[in-house]
Amino acid sequence: MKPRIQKNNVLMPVKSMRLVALAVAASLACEVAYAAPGDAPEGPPALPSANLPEQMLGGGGYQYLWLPGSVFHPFQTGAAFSYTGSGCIHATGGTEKRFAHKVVLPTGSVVKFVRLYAYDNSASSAITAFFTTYDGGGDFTELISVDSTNAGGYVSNLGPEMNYTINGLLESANIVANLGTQNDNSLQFCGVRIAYISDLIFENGFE
Amino acid sequence: MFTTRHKLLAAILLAGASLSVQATEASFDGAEEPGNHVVFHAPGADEAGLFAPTGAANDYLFVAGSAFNARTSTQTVTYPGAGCINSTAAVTTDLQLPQGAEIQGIRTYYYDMASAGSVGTYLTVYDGAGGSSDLLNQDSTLESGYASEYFNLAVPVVVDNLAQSYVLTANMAANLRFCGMRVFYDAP
Repeated sequence: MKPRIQKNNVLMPVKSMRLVALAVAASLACEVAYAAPGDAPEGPPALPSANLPEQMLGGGGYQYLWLPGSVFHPFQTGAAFSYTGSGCIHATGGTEKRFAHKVVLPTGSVVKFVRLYAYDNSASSAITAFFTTYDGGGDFTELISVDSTNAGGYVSNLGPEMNYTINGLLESANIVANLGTQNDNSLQFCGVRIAYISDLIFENGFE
Repeated sequence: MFTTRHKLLAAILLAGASLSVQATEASFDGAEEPGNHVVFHAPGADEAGLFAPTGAANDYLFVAGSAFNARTSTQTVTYPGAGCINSTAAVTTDLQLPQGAEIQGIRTYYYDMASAGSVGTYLTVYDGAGGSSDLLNQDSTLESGYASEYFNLAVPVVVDNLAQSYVLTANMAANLRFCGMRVFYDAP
């Protein structure tokens, strides 16, 4: 009996098998170690379902820029915040609750969605994320905003659909997160995931 | 009437002024460690990337230590200069690589002149729902001043920007300087 792998298909299956093996190994690695400073196991990951709006184009359309909450910085001194773990931060007091991170995407990319990730067990406050552009001359525009909802735990909320085209010549873009008035870990900002369309190829990343 | 000697003197003075300006600009970024400008690059698989054949990993993303941000408002961050920092708690930055890229490992740059403790290097993923995992967790071992050390991933990590975010994190003992990380990867 002949082997199942045909001679003229040897290269592709080997490449595919290698990628699958790498993915499986990476997946296994994701489940065993939680040694990052401040991180601790929080139970199994709750990944979003495959049918959410910003995933409809699948691998052939949208690309993603995912910024965890721990890489944001406060607007100014006066912020009091702590690292909760798993990429999430929360306010502990202070007078500044706004945090920012630059959105660096190739000019011509079209931003479609912002998904907010949070831990929300607060009845009195919420995390709010904004997609904001600045012209450097004193004007800014908050194109969309999305609030977290009190789900008694981890939650993700999708902002309204956008059609914003990145223009690095004219303006900058930030994600701004307002950590709310709850000054404890019952309200955490865990990041945002931006879904965008770009037909440009960046071999060396975006920064 | 300017003689050749005068012109030569003027040239020397101008050159001296130029050097002075450069020194001022450099000091704006902090002073380098005197007498210790030799950097020891520990050998690693990443060094061969530039000469790797097509299809092999040969891409780099280099992030300076000073571009990392604090994760809390209670920690202290100091800037000794030259892109290096010291912090009393972990510092972090996001890692943005193309979908499908294969991360091979990370080279960490630091300064350790026989001080106690080490610089920790972490490559961590978050799923936004409370899940996290360290794909790399290594401590520095060299104590020869400025140095870099490569930490290879046991299995290359395939970037999936839909499923999770990627961050680089460092922590360090007192008197050590974290000067940056260089990610060695293979673009799709």
